[in-house]
Amino acid sequence: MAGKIIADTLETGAGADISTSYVVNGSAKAWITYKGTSTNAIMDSLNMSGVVDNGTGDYTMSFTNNMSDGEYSLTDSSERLENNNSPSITGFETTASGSYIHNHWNSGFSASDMFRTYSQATGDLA
Amino acid sequence: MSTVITDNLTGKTSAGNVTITSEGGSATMQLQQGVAKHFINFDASSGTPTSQDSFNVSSITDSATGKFGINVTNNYSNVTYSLAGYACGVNSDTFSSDLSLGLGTNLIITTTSGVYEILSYATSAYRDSKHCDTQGFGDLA
Repeated sequence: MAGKIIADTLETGAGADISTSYVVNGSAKAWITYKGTSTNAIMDSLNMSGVVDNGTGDYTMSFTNNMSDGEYSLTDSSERLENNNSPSITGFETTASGSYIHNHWNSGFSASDMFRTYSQATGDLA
Repeated sequence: MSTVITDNLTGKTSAGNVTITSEGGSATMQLQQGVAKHFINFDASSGTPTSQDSFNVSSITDSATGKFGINVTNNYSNVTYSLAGYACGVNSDTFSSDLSLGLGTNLIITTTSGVYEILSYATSAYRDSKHCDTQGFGDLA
């Protein structure tokens, strides 16, 4: 049987403490490394059920366990071409409790698929 | 109110799997997978990147103007970890119309499990920015 601890605070032996609310609220609830060129694929992820390729540089990322609403915080970065210093521009749209849309452009603001795109979600799970 | 005093949290059934209950109470997730495994805030506005704050980062390599290698102390277990990045401020805290702000100015190239390159790009050129922030999520070795 797995053990279970119910606590409000974690404290190290040295006396440093942190409220468990920081641990629960501060942890990323989902993250993904996605390959968007050639054969699209999820390279690595947490709490992601799948990705829909909506078109060039336009991906819908879906959660396995939904967030409580669409107001969570997203961060990202991307690599447009493999081993190539080509700048990319990224943005998010339509964040819902179960998914978000991640958009990508090249430096000329033309929609562009990414060799790799990274994103992370922080907020409350349902 | 209760407090757990400990230096380590280790899963009982599986050492690398400590679960936490979601804020809404309807889901659980693996604690180890959700925490950032490294972060750094560095200032490159002088031309030499200087760490302001960091976790699990051993050093910064100044590859070229606006190009920096981030060397982690404890390596990831693979090269598929997920990265976030942000850079702003060319040479100072003052916003400049010459500067493109935001995540879109960054390009990150993952190279190995222990180092990756972050690029700060604005207005058709790589720039040594005042505020460079990056974080990583994934499995440590």
